[in-house]
Amino acid sequence: MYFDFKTSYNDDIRLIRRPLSGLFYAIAFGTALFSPLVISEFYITESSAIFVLGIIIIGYMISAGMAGLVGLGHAAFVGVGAYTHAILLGAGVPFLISIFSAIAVCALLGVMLAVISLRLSGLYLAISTLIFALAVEHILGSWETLTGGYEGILVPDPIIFGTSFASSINYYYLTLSALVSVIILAANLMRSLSGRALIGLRDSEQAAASLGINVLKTKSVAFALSGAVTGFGGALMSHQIFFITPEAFNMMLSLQIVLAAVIGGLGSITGALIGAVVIGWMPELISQIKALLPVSIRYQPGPDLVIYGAVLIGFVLFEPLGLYGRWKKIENWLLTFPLDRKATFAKTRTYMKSERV
Amino acid sequence: MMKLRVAGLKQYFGGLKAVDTVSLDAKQSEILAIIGPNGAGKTTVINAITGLRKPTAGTVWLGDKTITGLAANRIAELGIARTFQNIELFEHASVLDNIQLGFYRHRKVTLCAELFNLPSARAEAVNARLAAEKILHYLDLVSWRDKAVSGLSYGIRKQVELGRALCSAPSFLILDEPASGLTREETLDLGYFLRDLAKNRGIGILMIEHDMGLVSRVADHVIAMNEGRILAKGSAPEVQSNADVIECYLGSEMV
Ligand SMILES: Nc1ncnc2c1ncn2[C@@H]1O[C@H](COP(=O)(O)OP(=O)(O)OP(=O)(O)O)[C@@H](O)[C@H]1O
Ligand SMILES: [Mg+2]
Repeated sequence: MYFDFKTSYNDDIRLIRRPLSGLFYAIAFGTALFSPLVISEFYITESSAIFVLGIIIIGYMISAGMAGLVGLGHAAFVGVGAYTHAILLGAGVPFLISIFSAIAVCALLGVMLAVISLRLSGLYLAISTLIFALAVEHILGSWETLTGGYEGILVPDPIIFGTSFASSINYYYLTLSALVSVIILAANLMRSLSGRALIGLRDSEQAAASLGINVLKTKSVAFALSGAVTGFGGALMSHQIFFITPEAFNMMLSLQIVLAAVIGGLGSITGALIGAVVIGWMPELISQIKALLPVSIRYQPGPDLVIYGAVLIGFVLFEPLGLYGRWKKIENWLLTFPLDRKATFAKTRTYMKSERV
Repeated sequence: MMKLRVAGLKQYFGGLKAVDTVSLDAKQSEILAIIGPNGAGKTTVINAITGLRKPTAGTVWLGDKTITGLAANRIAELGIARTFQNIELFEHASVLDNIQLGFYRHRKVTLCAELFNLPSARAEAVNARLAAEKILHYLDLVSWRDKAVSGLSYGIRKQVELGRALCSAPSFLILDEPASGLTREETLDLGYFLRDLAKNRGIGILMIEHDMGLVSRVADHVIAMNEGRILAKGSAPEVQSNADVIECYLGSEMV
């Protein structure tokens, strides 16, 4: 049994609310900080990739999970972030200026997407973001003078104030600090009134408007923030790919982002991180599954998509709150232990809603 | 003392005259009730006042400021709060989060301050929380504070929606059938809250209500509507004894 003692409202606003979770975060951070000293090169590189994915998925979570603007085209932000960064670095712009420019460009792109899909929601919004991503991919491919077209461009090494972050261990710390900053910013957003306004938008636009929330402006803010964070991830990701082509940012990547968010649990930072870990290891997992398949279909491009699709459907059907939601249920059971409260998470009756106000 | 005035309001949907030349005056510290059969156009009137739909014609003033046709969020910022006939809550958020969002119109900090959790943002979070806690205590919702709204009973959800509107500290509160679906006890409590809000806190209340018992207990003025027009205005007993109103309700159980 656990009792929550609070003595001031500040206790509730703090990021770390319980001593136990403080310990947990400390251990997680400590592990992340020191593990490169013991793990092999392969795992260091693999972990950096997961940190970057984590940033991208937190970016997606801001629009899809918080504001309920479920898009299917976040690869566009990853791509534009990566290309802006690579092009600027190639032109000799210093790393930090280049990466902040990439973030700014992606934020603007987010506002553009918001303007395009201003009054759309649900399926129509999903389709419009999908088309948006296809268009962006196409532009990246055909604007050859700038992007090098489908032949791609080389990404210069990350050098910050004369220090190279190209080695796997330096890059590991670069991406880790980027991820931690993004986590803190996202957590700050979630506990602010603006963050709650995003949630308001998701659940009832009419009620949100009747509380003084400017629906269109808040949507744009959601897309801008989401685009900025995702683009930041994209810029970092470019250093992992070394040589970027438009195909690196196609539908498959968008699908992976959605999948990660759904597996982890839409709407929480922890969920986004869990999703990043799972998706980060998915290719490994898939190659193991493929090894079991008959040779005739093993090398076809199909199975990957089928497996991703099947996992997505499985989660939507059986674990709609994601792995983090499952953990929350277990945690709740532990905290209230002798008092088993099945009803807490039981599906409740939803009251009829009509279109009329 | 501020007034909320509506003059010559019309709302046509194609050929249907849902609201046809309605005028009314609501004052702070007073409760004005609108009664009328289903489809009379009551909800349409308050949707036009609160900016959810631009009226076909007519003017709405808040004090001496014309607010006709302003966006809903602008009108909310000016201090008009409302509830909805079909309860519009943020289902996947807690009671506390729902009520705290009522504070949104008092938000002063920038997004940047919030992202970096600057002292100004922290101070505002505490203010929002204080405002919400006062409401939780006032409406006796403390024990539901951290519950998700989606799991609550109908009566509690209505209370939460009222609380969210109150948390914006409005000068006018517009309620669409606040007592529908409530038990007898809950309705009695609601009557007490409404009197207190108007008489002791100076809020002007405009409410649509079918429960004539509640209306005659709390309302200072009553307007009866039918087919988009006003049938009668006056005190509750006057309106209830009006011949047109009686005829309109004849055969229905509402009188
Ligand atoms: N968006 C709309 N489009 C077309 N007609 C509408 C719309 N909204 C309302 N109406 C019509 O306007 C008329 C008045 O509706 P309104 O909702 O204002 O009635 P009401 O008095 O609130 O009734 P109730 O007691 O059932 O809530 C009804 O005939 C309704 O069908
Ligand atoms: Mg109505």
